[in-house]
Amino acid sequence: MVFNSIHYLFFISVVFVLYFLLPAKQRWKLLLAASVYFYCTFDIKFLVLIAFSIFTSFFLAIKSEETADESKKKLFLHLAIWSSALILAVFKYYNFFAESGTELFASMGIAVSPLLIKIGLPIGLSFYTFQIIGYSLDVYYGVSKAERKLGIYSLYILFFPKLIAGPIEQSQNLLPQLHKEQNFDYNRITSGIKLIAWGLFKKVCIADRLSVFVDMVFSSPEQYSGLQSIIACYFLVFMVYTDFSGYTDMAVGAARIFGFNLIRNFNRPFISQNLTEFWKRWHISLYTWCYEYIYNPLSFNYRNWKQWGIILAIFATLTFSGLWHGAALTFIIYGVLHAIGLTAEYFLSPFRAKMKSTLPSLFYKYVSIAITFHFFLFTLIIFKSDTLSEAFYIIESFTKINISQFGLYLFGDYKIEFLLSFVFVFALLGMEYWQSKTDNYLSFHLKLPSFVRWSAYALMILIVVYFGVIKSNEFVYAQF
Amino acid sequence: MEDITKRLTAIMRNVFENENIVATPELTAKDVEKWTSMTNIIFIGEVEKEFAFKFHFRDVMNLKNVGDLMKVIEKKTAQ
Repeated sequence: MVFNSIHYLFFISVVFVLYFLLPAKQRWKLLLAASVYFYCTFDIKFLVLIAFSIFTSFFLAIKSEETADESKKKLFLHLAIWSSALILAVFKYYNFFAESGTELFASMGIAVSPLLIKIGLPIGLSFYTFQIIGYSLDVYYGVSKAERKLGIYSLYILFFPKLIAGPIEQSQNLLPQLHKEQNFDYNRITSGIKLIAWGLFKKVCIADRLSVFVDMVFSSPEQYSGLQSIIACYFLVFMVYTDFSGYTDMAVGAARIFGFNLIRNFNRPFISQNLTEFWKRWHISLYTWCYEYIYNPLSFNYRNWKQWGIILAIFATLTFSGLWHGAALTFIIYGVLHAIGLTAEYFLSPFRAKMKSTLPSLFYKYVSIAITFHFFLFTLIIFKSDTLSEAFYIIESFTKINISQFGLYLFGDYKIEFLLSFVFVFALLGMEYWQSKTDNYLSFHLKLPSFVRWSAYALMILIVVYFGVIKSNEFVYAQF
Repeated sequence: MEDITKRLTAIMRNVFENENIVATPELTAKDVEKWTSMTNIIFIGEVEKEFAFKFHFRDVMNLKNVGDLMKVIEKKTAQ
């Protein structure tokens, strides 16, 4: 049941009505039941896996908190982490390493035929596993108290708005909210609905429209000219952004309807002036997780190595975050390239500071934004490609610009689609600029007269209905 | 505590390359331009060297400001 489907609209409407009909103390139970149902609509057979991870991490966290013996605490922590991480490793990475190993042995003339897992990937596995590991570490370090109510803890992991593609919620944020009784709050509910609508617009009007061009070029790059490939790569950046941030808006909006604040996962990433800033604005919940649970402990353990310890931590963190997206060489290289970029930034900071003080400030700002954006675009080409050679083929084709083929886009079968894509991307950037001018990105529009606001809502609905690509297309990040 | 403040100020000025920094309890990483996740770890190493003790990861992960750090240093050096 994807967010951009009629089934989901019906589901969330029913849950919403029942939620506020129930006594406040019982509402979390309905959310838990709804979340289990939501999970089962994807694949009921994996319910036993997520239930196993929930039960083990719940009981082991309590055990870890109750014991004063440090070695036992560590044992419970390792059991909690590995019982979930092993499931992730088997389902997501086993086939990749088994096939890579087979190829390696084959190159040495040794034929092996390992058993491969062919039952698919449990939905949301990477997201909820990271949440469970984060929770176990938080309890171990004393940042959070171990949850004593199994039902509340289950809801913390299973809560349907963020189950399939995050945000990866930290225990300090979501768990305390689940204990509070949520009342009917008109303003909060309407802001949630508007956020869902905005996310839906991003998904069906921008992401799914841009994906037509992106998929055409990436599925058979040899058929397209350099200019077409360049345009497709620019579209790719906005496609991934609107797909994932659109999903996040729908998740945050749905949670708000029921009274919960999920963390903000994106914050205008394309105005970043360097990669460090970019990673604080793009997929914030994954960055925060990797920073707190990988980078910090690693750089701390290797602090005597000074700069080299930091570089080791950067490479381990970013490579891991790349691998998190899936078992493929292209994802690993995506992570390594970002690690190289961040390391270069670290060593070049005196040079950058000198440039900043020498160059006109606006020039420095926009050049920095352009460099950061294009570095990300370059890495995203590798991220999107099935193989490295495909990525290099597309990048190489940039040099073969044939202006006469431009007509294929502007005047061919996709003329309207192409122009609409531009209009919607610029509308998105304009809206985000406007949002940034207020303290609260959820209520930036409330200062407008009600007539203007309601006209804008009606226009938004019309745009989604008339220009949306209504196909219940899956979200890109739901596959991770 | 005065001695800790003085020594911390010297370390911070050296690591964060700013002669105007003064280690006050309310000071946080956000207030210092070059206090990043990367320079922070160099800073932690320098504090350990100056005060001759080793932090546990649990000690540093819950630090909110320089005041919290001062309390940890005071506790560790008193042991």
